[in-house]
Amino acid sequence: MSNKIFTFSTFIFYKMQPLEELPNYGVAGAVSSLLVVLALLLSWWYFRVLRFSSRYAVVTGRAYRPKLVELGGRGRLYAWIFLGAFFLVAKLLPFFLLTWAALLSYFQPPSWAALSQVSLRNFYGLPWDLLLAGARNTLLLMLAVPTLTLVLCLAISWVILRSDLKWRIVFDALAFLPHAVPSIILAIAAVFVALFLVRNVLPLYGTLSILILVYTVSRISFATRIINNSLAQIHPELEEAAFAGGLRVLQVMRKILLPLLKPALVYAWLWMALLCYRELTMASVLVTNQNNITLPMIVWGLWLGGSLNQAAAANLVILAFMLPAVLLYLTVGRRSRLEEAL
Amino acid sequence: MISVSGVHKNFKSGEQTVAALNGIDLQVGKKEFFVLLGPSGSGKTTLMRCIAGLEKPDAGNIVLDGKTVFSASPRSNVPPEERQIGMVFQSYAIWPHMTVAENIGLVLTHGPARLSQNDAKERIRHALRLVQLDDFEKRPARLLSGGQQQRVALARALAINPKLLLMDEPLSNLDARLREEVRTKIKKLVSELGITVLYVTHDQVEAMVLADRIAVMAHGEILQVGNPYELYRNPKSALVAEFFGSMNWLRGKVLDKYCVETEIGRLEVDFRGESNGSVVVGIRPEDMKLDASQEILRNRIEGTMAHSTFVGDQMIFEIRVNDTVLTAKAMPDGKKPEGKVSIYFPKEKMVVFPDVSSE
Repeated sequence: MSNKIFTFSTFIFYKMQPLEELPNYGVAGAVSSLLVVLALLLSWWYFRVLRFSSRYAVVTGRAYRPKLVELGGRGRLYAWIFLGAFFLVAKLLPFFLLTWAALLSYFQPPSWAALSQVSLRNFYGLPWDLLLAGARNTLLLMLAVPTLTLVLCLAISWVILRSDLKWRIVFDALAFLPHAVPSIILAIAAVFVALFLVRNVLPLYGTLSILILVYTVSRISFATRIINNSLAQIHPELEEAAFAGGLRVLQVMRKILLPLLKPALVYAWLWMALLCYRELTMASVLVTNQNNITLPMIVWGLWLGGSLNQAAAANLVILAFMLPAVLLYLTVGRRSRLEEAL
Repeated sequence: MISVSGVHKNFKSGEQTVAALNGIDLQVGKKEFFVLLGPSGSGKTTLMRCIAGLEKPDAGNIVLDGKTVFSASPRSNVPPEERQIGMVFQSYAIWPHMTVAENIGLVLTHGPARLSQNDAKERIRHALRLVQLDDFEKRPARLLSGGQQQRVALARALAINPKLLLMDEPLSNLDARLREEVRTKIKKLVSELGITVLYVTHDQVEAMVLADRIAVMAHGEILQVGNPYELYRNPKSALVAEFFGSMNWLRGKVLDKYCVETEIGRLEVDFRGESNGSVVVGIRPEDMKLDASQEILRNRIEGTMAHSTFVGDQMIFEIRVNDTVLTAKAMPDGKKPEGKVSIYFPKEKMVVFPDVSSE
């Protein structure tokens, strides 16, 4: 972005928060509308394809099992080399450089000479107040957004798949739309609404609530895909048997659907929590003060302020914050997927 | 117990509208075992789902035990959870995340009865005893065999002491031997309990074994209602006749009121309909008499024995007359007729219908 090679989304961002001029809301809005039209066309195409989706079904029948292919001795060696190289380049190397940068006061390539300058100074200089506020906000987002999203998605998926409402396809389309609209446009639209439409009724601008709302809207599209898939695999007769036995809708939800959907719900919840934690695009538009600052925004701020090494240090601190969440995701997520496979 | 009148139900799939039920009228008496019989797509399951409240008809009304549960005008609809019916689904719909006892207990403690855990326990035990699964309470339901799941589904439906039990192809996922065994048990059980049963199946033998009365359905309409004997002996259409066991069909032209010139010769029939054109004459394999004596002058036709098969309790013969092959059945008597045979076609055993296919 700094050498002005733009994509649509980064161009909009640049117009909203330019480094050397005043924000140009008009141009950002105009480009956004153009993009939305493009997105609508693409989603129309997606739904057309979906209507004939049964034609593309490859895997059917209960007895389907993925086939395991035994790799020979040499094949196994290559596979391990590939995996190892990938892990090294994509994960370990960046992490190593991040740590390296965090320990120096200005960036230098790794060398013995530079090693002597290694210190924890960057960590002492971090804006700890801001980091704590960010941690609190991010944690709140990670709890509120997945919960709110799943409640909404459960309702939407149920209407789409189980009701005989005439307009249920509209729900499907609405839930899908955020997929097609770049999240930055969602955020900008939310800012417009908060600033110009409902400012006097609902003072949302610059609050944590606006982040919760916009994150939720943008995650609905992802979560409905997961819930739709899982709900479609549950035979409707399981619910009908409960209705015939005299149970009411909410009881059927609580006693039949929720327990059966549990693996998918847990998995989706954890995944969305992690997405919330690292979300930057929407935050960059929506975060305006200390009250609603998030952890990624702090790093971004340090980076923009030219303090690359402090940004790296902040990053490490945040990683440490989030390590428990990631571990939880890996263990619980893995177990719930196993449960689902049973 | 059940009174259905003028029920219509259409399903929309894309631009097309399919009439699943096309003006259904039906009366089922108290304590009757009533079977809806028809091929797939005949609307029998849709009709049952309308009665259960799982599907809303487009027109007509449904009365259960004197209470209107659905009416198109004035519009009223009692949701399924308030209709107090027991229902057994084709997939059994056993809740896989619960034990056997929990499967039955849920409808007792959370349904309209709202029993306490203790009262429910007694009822669960009783229901499981009915289906002979006494020691299965603590088993996880998903670990049961198909036959056991079927019995749990039945126990769950019976546990709420319903006056009406609906069963949607409950035996179609069981193997043949088990099916016969469970069939007789169901019949015995519901007659002991004195409940009304509406039972959906596509299997005519199952229908005949179980039913007090049967409604034969096709294309969203009821073709004929009657007891198994009536439907077998006096079908009102070729479709109904075809559905109950095999039939030899002979095309022919009506000569006068009682005489038809068929592809194998002239036959005297008992034909009540008006037609001076094409008809089909039907006769069941067991109704043809072989080795007819020479004294019989009418309805005796000569043929050649093409093939005979001994299947234990009966002999099955294939007899060629001109270019037509007829199937006949008889009790085995140790003889294996060969060569020329005389067949007698009893007038009262033949059915005649207008030939729709030639129009």
